Amino acid sequence: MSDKNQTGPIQYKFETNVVAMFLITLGLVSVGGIVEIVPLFYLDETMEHNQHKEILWDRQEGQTLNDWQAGDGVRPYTPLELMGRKVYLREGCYLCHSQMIRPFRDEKERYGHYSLASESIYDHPFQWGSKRTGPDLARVGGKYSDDWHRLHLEAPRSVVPESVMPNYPWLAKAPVDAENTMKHMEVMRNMAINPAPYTDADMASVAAEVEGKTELDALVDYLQVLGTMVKFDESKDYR
Amino acid sequence: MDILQTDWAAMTLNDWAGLIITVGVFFLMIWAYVTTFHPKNKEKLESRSTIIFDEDNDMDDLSSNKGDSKK
Amino acid sequence: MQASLDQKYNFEIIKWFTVSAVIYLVVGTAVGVLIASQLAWPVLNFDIAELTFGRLRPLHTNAVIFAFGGMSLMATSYYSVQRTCGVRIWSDKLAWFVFWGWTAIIVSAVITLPLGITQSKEYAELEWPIDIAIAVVWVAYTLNFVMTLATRKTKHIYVSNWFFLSMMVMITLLHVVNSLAVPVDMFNSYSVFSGVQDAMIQWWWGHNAVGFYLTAGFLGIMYYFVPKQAGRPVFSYRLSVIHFWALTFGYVWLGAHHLQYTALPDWTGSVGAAISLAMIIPSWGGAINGMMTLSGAWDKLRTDYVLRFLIVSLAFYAMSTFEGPVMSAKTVNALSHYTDWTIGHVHSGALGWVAMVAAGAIYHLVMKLWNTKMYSESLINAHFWLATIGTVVYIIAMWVSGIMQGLMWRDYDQFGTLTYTFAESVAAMHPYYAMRAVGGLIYWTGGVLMLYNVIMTIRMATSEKSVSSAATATA
Repeated sequence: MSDKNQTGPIQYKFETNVVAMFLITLGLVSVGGIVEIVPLFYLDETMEHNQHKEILWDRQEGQTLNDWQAGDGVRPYTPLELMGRKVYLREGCYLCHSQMIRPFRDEKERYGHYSLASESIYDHPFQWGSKRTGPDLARVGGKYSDDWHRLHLEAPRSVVPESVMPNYPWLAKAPVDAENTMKHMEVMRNMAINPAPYTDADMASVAAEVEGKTELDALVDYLQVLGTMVKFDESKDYR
Repeated sequence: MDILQTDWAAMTLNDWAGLIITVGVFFLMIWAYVTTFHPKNKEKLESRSTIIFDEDNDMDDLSSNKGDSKK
Repeated sequence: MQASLDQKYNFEIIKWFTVSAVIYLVVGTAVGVLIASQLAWPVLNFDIAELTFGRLRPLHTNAVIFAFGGMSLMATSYYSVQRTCGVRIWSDKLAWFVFWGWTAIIVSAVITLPLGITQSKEYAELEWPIDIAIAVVWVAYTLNFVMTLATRKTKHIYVSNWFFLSMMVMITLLHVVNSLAVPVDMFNSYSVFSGVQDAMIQWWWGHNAVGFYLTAGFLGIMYYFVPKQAGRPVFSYRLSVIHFWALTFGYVWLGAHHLQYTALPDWTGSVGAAISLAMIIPSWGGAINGMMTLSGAWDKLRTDYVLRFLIVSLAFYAMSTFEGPVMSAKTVNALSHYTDWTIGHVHSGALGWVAMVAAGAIYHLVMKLWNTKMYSESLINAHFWLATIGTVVYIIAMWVSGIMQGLMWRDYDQFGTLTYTFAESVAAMHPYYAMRAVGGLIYWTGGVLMLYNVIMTIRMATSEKSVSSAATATA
């Protein structure tokens, strides 16, 4: 190592000492990350349901996921929806579709109410997306019929002539496996942060829920629930 | 309320911490700027820029198409 | 003379990294041209799952960033650290482990991504077993670099190694935190974080992959190869001290500008935007320092085609690091977010800055490592013009389509209703998607010329050496 009696500005200390350079760099680079990430875990204002309790589904004893009605509040995905979301992740839909409506007049008119942080509380990983080659899907639930979605996913240009989306003919041929679905739900249920609150009844219902279903059915189910979970009170400003 | 007024009474602990850190980093940057560009440190610091030419002068005039002899 | 240098330093490992980098440049940009064409002509998806845009786009980004970018950084950082420390790489075996480890990771990406094995976090799609492999290889890469610095003969660590070191430290932090996931099985896992927290962590990772991997790392390349190629010391070493510390501290804060006006709290976006604007100064500190290194040697640009790459890359670096902060201001971001403008900004940085400074460094390296002139000077010049024109065509196509998209989405007619349906905005994109594919094709052609030129140079150099060694043997 170099001689220590090197006089000169403090910069010399770093330029001549690897350990000092390593540690000062480590310290400097961790400041920005901590300041922007850590508060999001403890500040109540981060998630809207902390101030507006009605945003999350207040599930009663004995209620199954199917008892939930649109607008009852944010809930974890049903087994079929979770497998549909897995197809959404696998096919990289987030690369062309966003799931994040911004509080702008045109986006409210085109897509609906701006998205809340609480609406994606169970989304491991988040699917907000960064590009709209295709339209935003945050509130696509209920806008189109199941049949429209099937036709569109099989051959997008058959219903939207201008579309540049690839065809997805293999989804209808791939069955959803109950045992695999169970594994996915187990992982979601045991997450360290924001776990999906599945009950034992939900876990038991998996076989029946996904019986005879294809990946196309699952993806359509997932798309149809997007954005339908919260009933918005127009007088309230959630942010 | 005039935007240039500061309601000092309403300042929370976080506000004070943020203010002190920001002003502190600001003065740190000024000190770093002054010490680095102070004339007395010029020779010491600028002399480091020739490290890459010191040890391999035997290589330079060999192959690269720069053609000119090393400076 | 050259033989003594081959013994003194480990040039062998750098040769392998360098040639790999050129190959992955051609492969990565080829996938880019294909997926760009798929957006212009969707029939090019061929209804084959493994070839659809959704699966090839992650392959494109991982290939150009981690394969091409990775190999270029490893070649140049190990070359720069050996030369500026006057000592051989600390461990040859560890260096080979890093090379074959990184190559295995790249091969695994080429296999898993088209099969749909992905974590679906943008640019961080590789599944959890590969994430673990990346962590191991990256730490080995960092250890070898740091130990070489520790055992250096020169008293001072040269500026290019500060940048390489800050990249290595930051990427380790980023990769470990953003890869935290719970496995479902060998090929599936779910991120530990969710929703808004996962968004912030993803873009803290995402922007600093750009900030430290593609900026600090490649500034390290610039600080070694521009002075060497120009035969001039760095313009102002003191400016590099200031802008290094400002860049290392400042860049980390910027991730939030990817999430303006989303469900991320407004205060985070404001912090991200404010510091993004401030970051113009240290970014331009680097660009000016590199450019002004040519003061007194500007005439070299007339004859030295490698120097053209290095200088034009700094022009693109200055441009994209000005464009970025402007785009991160909330009002501008309201228009640019989710549009092609973002893609234009990405590629002015990637094609203009990253790939061109790497190309300049690779040409310099090939001549030094094989101790030879290039097989063809004019091919370097041809590659330079193809790269510059290809980049400009690409960016212009995306600027025009991106800003048009943003304006079409928000436009109202005289009845107060939205003027365009979303489908109409997609239809309006077609000519620009085609133009972008052409720009990418031009850029790719330049890459092919480089690969051909490098291979012919190596064959020429190795055959010459075998001839000369045979001559000395018989003499």
